[in-house]
Amino acid sequence: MSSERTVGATGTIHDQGYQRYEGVRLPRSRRFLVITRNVLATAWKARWGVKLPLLGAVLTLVVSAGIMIVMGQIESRMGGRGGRLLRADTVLFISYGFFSLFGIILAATVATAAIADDLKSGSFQFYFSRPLRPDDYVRGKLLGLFVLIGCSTFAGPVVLSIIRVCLAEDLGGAIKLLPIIPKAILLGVAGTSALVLPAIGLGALLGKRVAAQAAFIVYWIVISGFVSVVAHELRLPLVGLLALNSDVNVVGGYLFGMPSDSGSPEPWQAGLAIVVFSVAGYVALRRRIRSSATAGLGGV
Amino acid sequence: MDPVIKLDNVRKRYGAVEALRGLSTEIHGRKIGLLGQNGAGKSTLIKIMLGLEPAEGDVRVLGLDPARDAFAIRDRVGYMPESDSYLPSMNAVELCAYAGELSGLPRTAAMQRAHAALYYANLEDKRYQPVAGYSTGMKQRVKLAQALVHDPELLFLDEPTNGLDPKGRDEMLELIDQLPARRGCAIILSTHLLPDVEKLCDHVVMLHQGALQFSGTLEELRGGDAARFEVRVKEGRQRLAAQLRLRGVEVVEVEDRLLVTLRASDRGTSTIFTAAIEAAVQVRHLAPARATLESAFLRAVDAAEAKAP
Repeated sequence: MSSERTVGATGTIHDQGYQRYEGVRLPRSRRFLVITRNVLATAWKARWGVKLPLLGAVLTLVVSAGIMIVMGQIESRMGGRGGRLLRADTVLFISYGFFSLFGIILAATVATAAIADDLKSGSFQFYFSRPLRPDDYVRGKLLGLFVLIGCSTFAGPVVLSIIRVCLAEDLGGAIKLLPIIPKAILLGVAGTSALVLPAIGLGALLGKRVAAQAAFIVYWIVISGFVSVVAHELRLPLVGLLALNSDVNVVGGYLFGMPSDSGSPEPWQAGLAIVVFSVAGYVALRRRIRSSATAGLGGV
Repeated sequence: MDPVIKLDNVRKRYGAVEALRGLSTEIHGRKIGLLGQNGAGKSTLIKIMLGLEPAEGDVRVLGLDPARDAFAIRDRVGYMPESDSYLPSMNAVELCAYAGELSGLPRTAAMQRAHAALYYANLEDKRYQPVAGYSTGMKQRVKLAQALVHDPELLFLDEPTNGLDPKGRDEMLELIDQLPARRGCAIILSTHLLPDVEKLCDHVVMLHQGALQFSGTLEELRGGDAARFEVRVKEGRQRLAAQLRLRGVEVVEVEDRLLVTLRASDRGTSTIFTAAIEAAVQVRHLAPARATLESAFLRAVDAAEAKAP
C-alpha cells in the first residue's frame, strides 16, 4: 500500500491507501474467544499479581510431584505395607491447599476487576456497539478467568493425579488408580468455580475494583476463617457452610477419603453451598451486564 | 440509490414517555447530520438503528432490519461514542486491533488495519502509549480509529468534537469530512453543534421532542428550493418592491435591503433586473440570500413548538 499525505485546510491527512477488507471473518459464535484471549493477555501484563501466584502454583506442582515420587519409592521398598495409596493421595489433597491459596490471589487480582474495570472505563459501549451479545461477553470473560485461575486450582491437582497414575508399578495398579483423575477434576472444578464466580459477581455488584478486591480478601481471609472457627468450636456445621474454602476442603476430603472433622458439614451440603455461592455470583454478573450493556450507547 | 436509513412510522415509548413519535423518512447522502437538542431522541434513534432497542414501526439500516439483523448491521457499522470508551490496560494499537477482532477480522488483518486506522487518525507517533494517558484530543482520535478499523459502510459519530479546542475541532472535522471519499463509508454525525453540521454535512435529519422536524438536504433546510436573493439599490427601494410584487414575486423589506424569493416560473435574476429598469432604480448589490443553519434550526424548532398543544 502506498502511503499518502495530503495537506488539508487544517493539517495533514494521513492515508495509507484504503482497500476494503474482503477476507474471511471469524464466525460470530466464536468471537467470545477473542474476549477470553484478551482476559489472559491483560492478566499476563500485570506484574506480580498474576505471574507470582502462577509461579507459586508451578513450584507447588513440582515439589508435590517430587514428594509423590519419593513416597512412591519408599512405599515400594516397604513392599506394599501400610495403605500406600492413601499416603500418596494425601500429598495431592494437601497440595490443593497451596493451589487454592494461589487461586485466591489470582481471583482477588484479576476476577474481581474483570467487570469493575470495564464499568469504570465505559468499555461496555466499546463491546456492545459491535456484533457481540451480552452472553458472548459473559462467556468470554468467564472462560478466560476459568483458564487463568484454573491453571492453579484445576490444572495443579489434575496434573498431580495423572503423575500419580503414571507412578503405578504396573498396568493393574494404574487402572486401580485411575478414579483419582476424575476426583481431581471434580475438586478442580469445584475449587475454581468457588473462586471465579463469586469474585467476578462481587466485582459486578460493587462496580469498583478496589472495593471488590477488599471485600473478596476480607471474606476469604477474615470472615471465612472466623466462620470456620466458630462452626468448629460450637459444633455448628451449617454455619461452616458460609466459609467457601472450608466447603471446598470438605468436598476434597470426601473425594480423597480424608477423615472428616465431627464439626464439618456433610459433603453434599458443602457441595450445595459451593453451587449456591457460584450461582449467586453468576446472577450478580448477569444482572449487571443486562442493566449496563447499552446504558451509555448512543449518548446519554 | 437505496437509502442509507429508512424509517417508517417509528415509535418508541419508555413507560409514559414517548421518546420517538412516528418518525418516517428516507435518508440519502454520504454525510448526514442528526440534529437535535438534548432529549430530542437522537440517542434512542441510534440505539434502535444499532439494534440495541426494539421499536414499533419499520426501520432499515443499509437495507437491513435491526430487529432481525442487529449483528449483521453492527458488522457493517462503526460507532464512535461520545464519552470515554477504552480498555485502560491497552495502548491504541492493541485497542484498535481488539476492536477489529471483535468485529470478526482475523488477528493479522486486525493488526494491520489498526495501524492504518491510527495512521489515518494521525496517532502513528503515540500509538504504543496507553490510551488512559491520552489527552482529550487523542482520545477522540483513537475513538474514531477504533470505529473505522473493521471497514464500516456506515459510521455513527456521536459528538466527535466534544471537548476539543478550535484547532483540534477543525482537524477532527477534516478527518471526518474525508472519510466518505477515502473510505467509501457514509457518516451520521449526531450532534447539537450546528456549525459542525454546517461544515460537514450535506443531509440533515432534525429531531425535536421525539418528532421529526426536517429531513433533507442542508440547502433545503436553509431555504427550500426557492431562489432567495438579497437586493440593495441606490434609492427607490420601495418602488422596486412594488414593481416586483406586481409581478407576483414575494418581497420582504429588511432594513436597507430587499429579500426577494423567486418562483420556479420566474426567469431567474432577470426578473429582478427587468423590474428595476421599470421602477427606474439602480441595483447596487444582488446576491443569493442564505439562511444560516442556526436560523433554519430555530425556525424549525419554533414551528414545532407553535404546533404543540
